Amino acid sequence: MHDFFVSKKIAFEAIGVWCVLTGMYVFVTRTLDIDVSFAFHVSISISIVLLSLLVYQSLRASMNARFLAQSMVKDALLYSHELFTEVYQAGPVPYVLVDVNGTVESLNRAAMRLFKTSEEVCKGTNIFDAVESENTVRIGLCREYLKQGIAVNDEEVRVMQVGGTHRWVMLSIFSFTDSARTQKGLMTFVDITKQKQVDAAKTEFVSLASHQLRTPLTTMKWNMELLHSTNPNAFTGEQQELYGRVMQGLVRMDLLVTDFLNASRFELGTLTVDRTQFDLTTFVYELMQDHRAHAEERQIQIEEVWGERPYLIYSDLKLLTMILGNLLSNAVKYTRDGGHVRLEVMREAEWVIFKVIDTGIGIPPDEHEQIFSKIFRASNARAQVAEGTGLGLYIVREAVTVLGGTISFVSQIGVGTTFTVALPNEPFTRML
Amino acid sequence: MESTQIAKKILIVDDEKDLRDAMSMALGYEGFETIVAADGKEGLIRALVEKPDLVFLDILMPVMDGIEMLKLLRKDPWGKTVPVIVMTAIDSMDKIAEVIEQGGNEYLPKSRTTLGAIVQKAKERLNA
Repeated sequence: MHDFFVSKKIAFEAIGVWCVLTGMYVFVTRTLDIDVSFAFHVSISISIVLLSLLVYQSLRASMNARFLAQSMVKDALLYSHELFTEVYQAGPVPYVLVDVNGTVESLNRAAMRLFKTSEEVCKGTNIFDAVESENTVRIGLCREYLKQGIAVNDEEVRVMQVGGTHRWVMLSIFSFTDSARTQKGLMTFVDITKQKQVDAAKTEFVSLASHQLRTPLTTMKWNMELLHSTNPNAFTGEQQELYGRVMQGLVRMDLLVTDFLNASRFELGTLTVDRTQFDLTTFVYELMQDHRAHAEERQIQIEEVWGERPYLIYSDLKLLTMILGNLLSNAVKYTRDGGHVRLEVMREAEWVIFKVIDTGIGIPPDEHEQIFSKIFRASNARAQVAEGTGLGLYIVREAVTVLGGTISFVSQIGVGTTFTVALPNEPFTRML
Repeated sequence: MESTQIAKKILIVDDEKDLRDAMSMALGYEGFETIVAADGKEGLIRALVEKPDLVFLDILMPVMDGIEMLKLLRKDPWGKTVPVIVMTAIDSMDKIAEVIEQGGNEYLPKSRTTLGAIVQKAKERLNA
C-alpha cells in the first residue's frame, strides 16, 4: 500500500515537472524566437534527466524504507529471542525442554538448582528417571501424554535430586512443535515442598490431637457408664435424660476423633495394610449388629443378603471395617424412618463385591463428583442431618484404594443410593 | 455370682490408670477379683505369680508393650492357655494380625467398647 502511494506521488511530481518545462518551453521559444526543434529536444532531454532523478530518488527512498522495516523486524525478532532466552534461563520456575520420550534437551538455571545438577550432566538423560510418584501409574500416564502431545497439568510428583534428597513439585507438561516440525515438550516444575511440609505438620497436629483426645474420651464414657450402672435407680427422669445427652455427645465426639485420626493417617501414609484371613460371615454379622440398633430405633429395616458366599476373606480387618462401617452408617443416617438398608455380599471370580443399598435421600447429580472429597457433605445431607465431618466417604475411598479395590455408586434423589465396593480376594481363590 | 464361690481372678494390664480403674471397678461390681498392672513387664510378673483366669491386655504401653508380653506369656507352660483379650486402640489396630499370631484369643476396640460389653466378654470367657 505504501509503495502504491509513493509511485502515485512520483507520477504527480513527474507530471508537474513536465508541465513547468512545457510552460518554460512555450515562453522561451516565443519571447526569444529560438529554433523550436532544438529547444524541444533540449527540454525533452532535461525532462528525462529530471524524471530519471526523481524515479531514482523515489526508488531509493522506497528501498530505504523497506530495508529499515526489515531491519526493525530483525531487531524485534532478535530482541524477542533474547527476551525469551532470558526469561527461560533466568525465570524463577524450573523449565526442562524434552523430546517426546522425555530425553532432556535443555534446562534453565532454576531447573539446575532444583535437580542440583548442570545442563551437561542432565542433557541426554531421561527426565522420568528423576521423577517419582506415590502412584507409579501416574508417571506412566505422564510419559504417555507427552508422547501423544496431551497437556499434563499440576501432577503432584517428587523429583529426585543429585545427592539422594528430593523435593515435592507440581509437574505440568506443554507439548509443541518446533521450527523443524519436531514435537517437543516443555516441562515446568513448581516447588511445593514447603506447602507439603505445612500440610504434613497440620495433619500431624490433627493426628496427635485426635490420639491424645481418645483416652480421656474413653475415660469419660466408662466413668459415666459406671455412674449410671452403680446408681440406676437413683437417677430422676431429668437426670436420666441429661445422662443420655452426655453419653450421646461423647459417642459423637468419639466418632469425630476417629474420623480425623483415620483421615490424617491416610494423608500421612502411616496406615499400614495388614492382610489376614478371617471369617466374613462373623465379620458381617457383627458389623450389622453395630448398626441394627440405630436402624431399628427409626423403624428402618436392615438386612444382609448373600450371593455366592465367600466364607473367608483375605483382607485388612480395620480397613474393611472403615469401608463398610462408614457406608452402612451413612445408609442408616440418610434413610427416612421406615425405609430399607441392605448389604449384599457376593463373590465374583477373584473379587468380593459388597453393595450397600438404601432408600435414602440420594445424592444431588451435580455433587456426584465431589462426594469423595475431604470435608464435603452433600447439600441435602447437611440440610437433613446436622452432624457429620464430611470425612466418611473420603476415608472409604482411601481405604478401598489402599486395598487395591474399586468403588462406584448410583443415586437418585428421593429414591436412594447404591454403593458398590469390589475388593480383591486372590489368596482365597488360590486356597480353593 | 454367689459369694460362696471363689471369685474368678482377672488381670488388667493398661498404662492408663483411669481406664484400668474403671474396668477394675466394673468387673469388681460383678464379683470378679481384679489385679492391675501398668505395663507389660509388671503384667507378666503379676500374671505368672497370681495366675489369673483371664487377662485384659492393652497393646501400646511403655517399658514392655502388650505384644511382647503376650509373646513371653505364651512361652510359659501355664501362660500358654490362659485366655487373653487384647484391648486395641485405633492407633494399634494395625497390630491385630500380630496379636492373633502371638496367641491373643480376642480383640476389642477400646474406644468403641462399653464397660458393659467388657463385663459381658469376661462372663462369656469364664462361664460366670
